[in-house]
Amino acid sequence: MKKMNLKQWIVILLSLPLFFYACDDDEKAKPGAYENGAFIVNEGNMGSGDGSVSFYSYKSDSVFNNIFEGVNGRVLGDVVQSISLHENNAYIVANASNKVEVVNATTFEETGVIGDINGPRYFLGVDKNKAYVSQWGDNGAVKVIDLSTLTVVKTISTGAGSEKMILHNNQVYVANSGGLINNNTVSVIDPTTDEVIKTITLNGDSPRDFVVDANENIWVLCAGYQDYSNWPDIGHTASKLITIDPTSNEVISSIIIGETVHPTHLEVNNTGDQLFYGGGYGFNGVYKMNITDTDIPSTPLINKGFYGFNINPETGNIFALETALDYVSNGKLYRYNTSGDLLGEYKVGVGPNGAAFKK
Amino acid sequence: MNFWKYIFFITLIGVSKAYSIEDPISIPVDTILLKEVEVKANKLAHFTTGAKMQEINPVVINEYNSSNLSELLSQITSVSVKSYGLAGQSSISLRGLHSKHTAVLWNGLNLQNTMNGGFDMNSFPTFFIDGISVQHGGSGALFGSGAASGVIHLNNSLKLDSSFTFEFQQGISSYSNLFEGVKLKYSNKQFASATRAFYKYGKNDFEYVNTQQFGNPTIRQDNASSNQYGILQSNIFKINNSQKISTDVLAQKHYLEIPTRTTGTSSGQNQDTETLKISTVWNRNGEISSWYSRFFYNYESLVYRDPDISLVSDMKHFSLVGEIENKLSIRNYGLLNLGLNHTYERVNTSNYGKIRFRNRTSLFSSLKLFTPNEKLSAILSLRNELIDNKLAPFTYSLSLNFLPFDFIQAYGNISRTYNNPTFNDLYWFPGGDSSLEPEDGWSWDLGTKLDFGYKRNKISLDLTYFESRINNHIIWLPDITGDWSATNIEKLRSIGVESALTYQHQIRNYQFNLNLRYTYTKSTYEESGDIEFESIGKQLIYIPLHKAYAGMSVSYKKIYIKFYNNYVGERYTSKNNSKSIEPYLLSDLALGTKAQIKSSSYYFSFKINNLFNVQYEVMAYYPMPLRYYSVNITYQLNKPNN
Repeated sequence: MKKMNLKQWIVILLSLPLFFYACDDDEKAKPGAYENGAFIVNEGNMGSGDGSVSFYSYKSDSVFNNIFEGVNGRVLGDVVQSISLHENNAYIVANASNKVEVVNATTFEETGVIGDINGPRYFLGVDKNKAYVSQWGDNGAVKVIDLSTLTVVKTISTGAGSEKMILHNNQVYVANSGGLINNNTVSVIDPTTDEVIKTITLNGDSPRDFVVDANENIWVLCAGYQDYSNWPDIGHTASKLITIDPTSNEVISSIIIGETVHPTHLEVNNTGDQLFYGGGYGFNGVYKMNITDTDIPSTPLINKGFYGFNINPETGNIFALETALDYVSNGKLYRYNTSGDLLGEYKVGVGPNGAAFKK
Repeated sequence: MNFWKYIFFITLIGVSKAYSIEDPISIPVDTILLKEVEVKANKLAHFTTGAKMQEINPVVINEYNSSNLSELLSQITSVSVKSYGLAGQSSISLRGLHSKHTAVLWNGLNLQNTMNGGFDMNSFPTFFIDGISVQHGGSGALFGSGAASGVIHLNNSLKLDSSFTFEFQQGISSYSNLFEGVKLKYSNKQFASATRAFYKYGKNDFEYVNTQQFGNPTIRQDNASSNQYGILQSNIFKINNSQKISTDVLAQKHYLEIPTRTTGTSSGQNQDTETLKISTVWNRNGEISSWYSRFFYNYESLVYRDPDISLVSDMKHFSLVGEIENKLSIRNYGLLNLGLNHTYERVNTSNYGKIRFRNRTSLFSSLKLFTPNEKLSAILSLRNELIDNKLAPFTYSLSLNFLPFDFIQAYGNISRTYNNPTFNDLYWFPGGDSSLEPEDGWSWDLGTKLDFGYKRNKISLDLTYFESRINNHIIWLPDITGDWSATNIEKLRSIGVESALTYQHQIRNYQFNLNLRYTYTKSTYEESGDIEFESIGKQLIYIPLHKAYAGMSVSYKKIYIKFYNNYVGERYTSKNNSKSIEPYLLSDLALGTKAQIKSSSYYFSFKINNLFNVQYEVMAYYPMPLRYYSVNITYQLNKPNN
């Protein structure tokens, strides 16, 4: 994420020979099938090979760490950004290693790898044979992947820092977060032609995440950004929640979350009437609001800072992820119910940022 | 040199020579190095008694001209090395701390990078070095900031009134590595000149099985080439019988690619470095009082490129050092040294927002007292440094050297040390903190050395226990709002044992040498303020607990064979010690011979590197080559002065 890359800069540029952060977990992978649980993606540190995937099992109420290395005997690569489940596979994006590792989602055995991408961030399965991978490289783009050959068949230019994507109303929406610079657009792609059909300019900076609500509207979370140009004074642009009408692809409304805070995760409950936002570096709390609310809630549902969180679509439970303060020690998974009561606390890998739920 | 003379020599120069690497066939180089070096490096020559010092034979240095300095140090000394591939950036550290805690001095002047405190050992060609002394343990009072756990002294020597020498060296090794070097030395009674120039290229495109990629493909390493050339001009001018001026001018260009990691795809990252170093020393030698005045200009420009993120980063830094020292002989029992150093550092990079500079002035003094036969000597050193009008920790050290009998030597050293914040820690934006305090620490050791000679056998044994501590260690941490910044928060501690055994046997034309060395280093993260990180109590990353070396050589007349074995134990790559890289044992075999026709000498050597085809990593996920070969030829013409 934005901060991660700042750290990459720091690590690469100023300290090549000096210090390298790293960490992981020794627990061996669980043998057998990865079913009825959640995969947790742990970013790890640049250069240390400690990015990993953990698995939380509903049945045993416990976490199995470092499952990719446990099953396949090798590491995932540098800065594991995301995991997505599509058809019978899991697609794990290793950002700094410029690849997407493909594994069987039940056994976690490696089945292939997608290369020829530059700074990949997220994977979106479009149909059985096609997927999109967003990337920061080449000034922001989406790579079109043929899933039968795991090759890139087309590059679609989008906008700087292409981040999360969502498929809705037979259109793919791409959040152009700015990456290392700034951006405020969403690209709309027609997945049949793989062409950008519209670029929506938002009145908010750094769009990061999407959900679709019960009214079929798209909500975009704009994180806003921190401006370091007058260091040590840090400037900010506001974080916002913006609604887009998927038919006209026009902005309907927007709500300011905060002038100096920058949440990066947006989730919706399974009935589509409640939104949850929070997570991200330095943002405290997970907030809950109704889609009809015109103001943001004044108090958080969970008063704790997380690097990321996701909502289990079946139970509505919140899987919140906390990184260690030094970004070297292992992070934690906290499970909460919809009312924000803590259900459990578990050790995961380094820098956990998100979960993907597996039936 | 017989055994007793050897012992006498040790006491005379007052350096506990822990072990010297003997060599069967010598390329004639200036052997009495210290005598020459003292002009440039007075403190090393006179005030390091009691410090554990490993001298590296110039012949051995010469052997590494076509490889590099970090390989030399990693193979035959107990330093820990972090190198990014075969010719990649490489940093070293002594006694279990970080590389910024080991000072690297060239003719007595600090080469550590103002921006990050490190020094890329592979950027300094061995062809430009006449002598290396590896000083174990801190000595902040003598050598200032950075010398917290050790000092690497790189020295040049040049003599008046010695022979005319022309030398040409060529080295070729696997993976398109080429080295060409020319050396020209001329001198008379008033003037001496040495000119050296080299060119070095390496593609380093070795093949390896990549076990970190899907399907374990065999991959040819890419983006690993380097291209380096430079010139060093050294001169001595004799003003009169007591005064000399000596100058060294070094200019170099170095293009280096950052090798692709096994976990990733081609990185494409590379950097260009341009260096200019000018060192001038004026020396007035008197019976009682000697003066040394030094001037040092050190310029470096670095352009770093990362095509993946379209990044081009440009940094320029230079430092100016002026130093004056006076050494007084106190009858026949003491030496008193008093000196003043001013250092100006300036860095220009967009990462700091604006041009940053720093002025440091330090006053230092050493007093050496010894019994007439130097059976017992003691040195007290003091230093105080003013950094931009702020006082650095006052440092002092005390060293003792005792020779109760001719075959036994005991030495000890206690030293307070400090380490100034690097410019990156101070000014990097965002996150730099200009109010950072210098790191401070202390270091002590106690050791003994035994030397026995019997008929044609010579044995020496050296054993040292050490401890080094760093308080206020600067690390980068995110704060509650997620902004990373540098803070004085960590404490480090390192304890260990260094041991060495050398054995030499000679019968007629045969000579046998054996060098064994073992180092145990337990270095830990002790504390991080009030925060209970998982790293507390864990071993520092990239510091092996165990490191060992066994070197053997046999020579018969003008032919030699050498067998080096270097063991590096498991190294953790994560601060909570959950990730590590495997130990490795690396062996090299070398054969060499020499022929002499009148005043021309020809040397030929052949080396098999990584004899047993070991797959290993020095830095995690940076592949290293399997077995490869090197050939070196040297032509030397020597004409004595008439």
